[in-house]
Amino acid sequence: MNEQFEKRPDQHQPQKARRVIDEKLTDPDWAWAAYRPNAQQPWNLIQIGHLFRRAAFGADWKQLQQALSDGPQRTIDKLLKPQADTTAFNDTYDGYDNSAAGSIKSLRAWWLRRIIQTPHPLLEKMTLFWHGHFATKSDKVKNPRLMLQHIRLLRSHALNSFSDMLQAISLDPAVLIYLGADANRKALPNENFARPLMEIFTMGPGNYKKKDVREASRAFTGWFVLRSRLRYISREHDGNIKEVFSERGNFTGEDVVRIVLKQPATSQMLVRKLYRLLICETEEPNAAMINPLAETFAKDYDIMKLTETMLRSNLFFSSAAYRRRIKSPVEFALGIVKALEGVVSTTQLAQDLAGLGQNLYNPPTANGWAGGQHWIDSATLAGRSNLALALLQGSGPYADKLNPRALANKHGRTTLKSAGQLLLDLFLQSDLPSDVRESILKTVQVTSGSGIDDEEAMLRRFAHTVVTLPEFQLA
Amino acid sequence: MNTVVPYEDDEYARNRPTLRLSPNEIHKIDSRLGFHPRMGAFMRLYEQGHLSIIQGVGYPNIDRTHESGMRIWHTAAPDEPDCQTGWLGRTVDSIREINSVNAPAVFVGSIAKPFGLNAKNVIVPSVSSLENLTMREMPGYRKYQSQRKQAAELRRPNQNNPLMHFLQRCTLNAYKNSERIEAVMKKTADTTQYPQFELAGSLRMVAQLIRADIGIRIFFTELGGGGIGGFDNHANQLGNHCALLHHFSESVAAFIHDLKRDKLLNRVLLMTFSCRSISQSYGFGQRRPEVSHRLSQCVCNRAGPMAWLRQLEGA
Repeated sequence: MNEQFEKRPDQHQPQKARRVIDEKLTDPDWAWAAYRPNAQQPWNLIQIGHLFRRAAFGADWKQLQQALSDGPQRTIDKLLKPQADTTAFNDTYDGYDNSAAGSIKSLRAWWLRRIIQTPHPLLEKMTLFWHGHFATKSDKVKNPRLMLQHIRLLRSHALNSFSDMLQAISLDPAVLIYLGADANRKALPNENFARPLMEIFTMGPGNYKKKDVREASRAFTGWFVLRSRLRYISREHDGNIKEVFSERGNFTGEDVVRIVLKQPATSQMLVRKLYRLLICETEEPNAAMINPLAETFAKDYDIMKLTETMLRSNLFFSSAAYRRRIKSPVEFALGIVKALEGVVSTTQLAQDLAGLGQNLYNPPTANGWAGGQHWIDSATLAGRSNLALALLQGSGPYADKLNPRALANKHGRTTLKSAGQLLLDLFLQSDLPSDVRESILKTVQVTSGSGIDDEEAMLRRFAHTVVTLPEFQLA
Repeated sequence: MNTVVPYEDDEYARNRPTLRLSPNEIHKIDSRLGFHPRMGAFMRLYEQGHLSIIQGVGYPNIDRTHESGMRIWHTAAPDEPDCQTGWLGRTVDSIREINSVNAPAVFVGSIAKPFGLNAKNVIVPSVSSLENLTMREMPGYRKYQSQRKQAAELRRPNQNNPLMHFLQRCTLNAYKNSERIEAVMKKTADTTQYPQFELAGSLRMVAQLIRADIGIRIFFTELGGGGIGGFDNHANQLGNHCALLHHFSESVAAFIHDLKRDKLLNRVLLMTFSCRSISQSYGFGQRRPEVSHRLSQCVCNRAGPMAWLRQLEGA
């Protein structure tokens, strides 16, 4: 059963084969073509673990095994469009959200719970991604119901059309309140939406002029948020000619969004941002790599298609992507929870994740979470270690919801050694240098006189060791 | 206005009919200013040359609403109503390098982290107990820490991944910091005398973290805050402030003496803010504009080169 671990994406490969792959990595045609398992890059648990870390929040044993027999094509099909009844699931959770909309703390908890339970984790992954992209902060909006409406908007568009999402964002009360763009008078055009629209949501700094912002802001006049409701007051709209990106007309806000979407910088910026999410955050891709995707994306702004291209690609399953991203606190914690098939208190979890720097519904600034290496220093790593301890210790605020011994038994791994091996496969697909693997497996050994209780404690400790390794922090 | 009292000022007497303190009780600094009667400890620090006072710290054109006043104190950006970062948050963003392994700043306390620490990139941890910063083990399994550490330590052949290298360095540093904190906790378990106030407990933790020397450059703690037990009492403040100012000065004095004994004082600059408008609120319990008026003051504890503790009064 161990043969699937022998080939690793970026080690133990013959030097020559590796060089061939390196050269291919810079060829966009090869990079974005769909991955087909082959001798150098076989379909194995390592690739599957990688896929579920990026396109979901980790996987349980059954999912890993199912993917092994399904192959890449079918596994990715299911991640993109699950066979399960996702509508019914989301309706149920929308109901929970409605009754929790009195407080952000409950909404945070329900969202985490949804992420754990959902049959469509990619949708939640993308919703969370857009939450960082259109970062809106509850502490300022001070209206949980509007915040819920905002997250719902993101979810409904998360894998559909970016154009539709951006149009909806331009009329979203939570966004307008957060940006201080809730009053757009004819006599006093407000640049607080037009500027982030260009700087953060689409083109990025350096791709527009002050004049574009000023003119665009005139197009958004007439829109107000009054008593938490969006209102259009036509006499406050400036119906005169505006000039935005060299186009002239008596534009409305909708027109401006359309014009912004036509700028090549917009699709390029979004493709780059998704590249950081799905492929790699250590190296900035060159234009040759980004342009083919950006050009296709600009045609219809179909997020699902772009995501699909990236997830199926040779590049995605290559060493250029493998472990080239740092897990966010949510990904870190849920990776443990999903693998061990438990449902923990998400009220507590949301609080602990906020302490690690990812407070759902409250990204730090309009730029969202900086992510990457910003997630990590010795203090946040100690925090991650202590959160993992709390999740795994079987008592305290998370109670006994995650039990590695019980999980191993469920999957027929009754001996201590096989249970340890299972945990290693689950969390890291055993992709560790052999001396590291041996050294930690040594800590799960039957000693004379050890009983069932000792075994349970031993496996809890072992799981804690595995999830605090540097490798487990990587996605 | 209650910390450093302009006891001879006619305006003071006129504007604070019931809140004014009698000159007889004041610890007099000079013929004009003095410390609150319950702040004898500050008077001693002042006499020892450990404390200096900067008055009139503030900003122009105060609209005196609580919301905007607090926002400005935390953002230090009076002209940017939509400023999204705190003044200390911006500081930590500018001092932290992307590959550094240590957290540059922490908030010490168990209340919500103040907005002043909101940063664009850096995560500022909240520390309510030193254990938050240590690599804890499951009960009864302390001896396994060395195994856990060893597994992180072993060489990774695949070092062409910069993230792997970074995470390994941070993980090992986290174990090292953890050991330093534990050593400090053991060493100073019962040897230091701090009063039983919450602020004293926070400052004691700060002193321990300074001693552990784990790279934290900015510590932030807060006394009071709003609500019952805080400074935000408007016209009801007299009795409450007596107790709080006493806690405050005794806690700071204990902290200074603790650092002094370990010859750490010259490495530390401690700054505290206290602000209050001159006139007392009209009527008791009535909501009234306050926050930093032209006479708002800022007290700096000066020790050697200069050390700051920051105490942002809930105003």
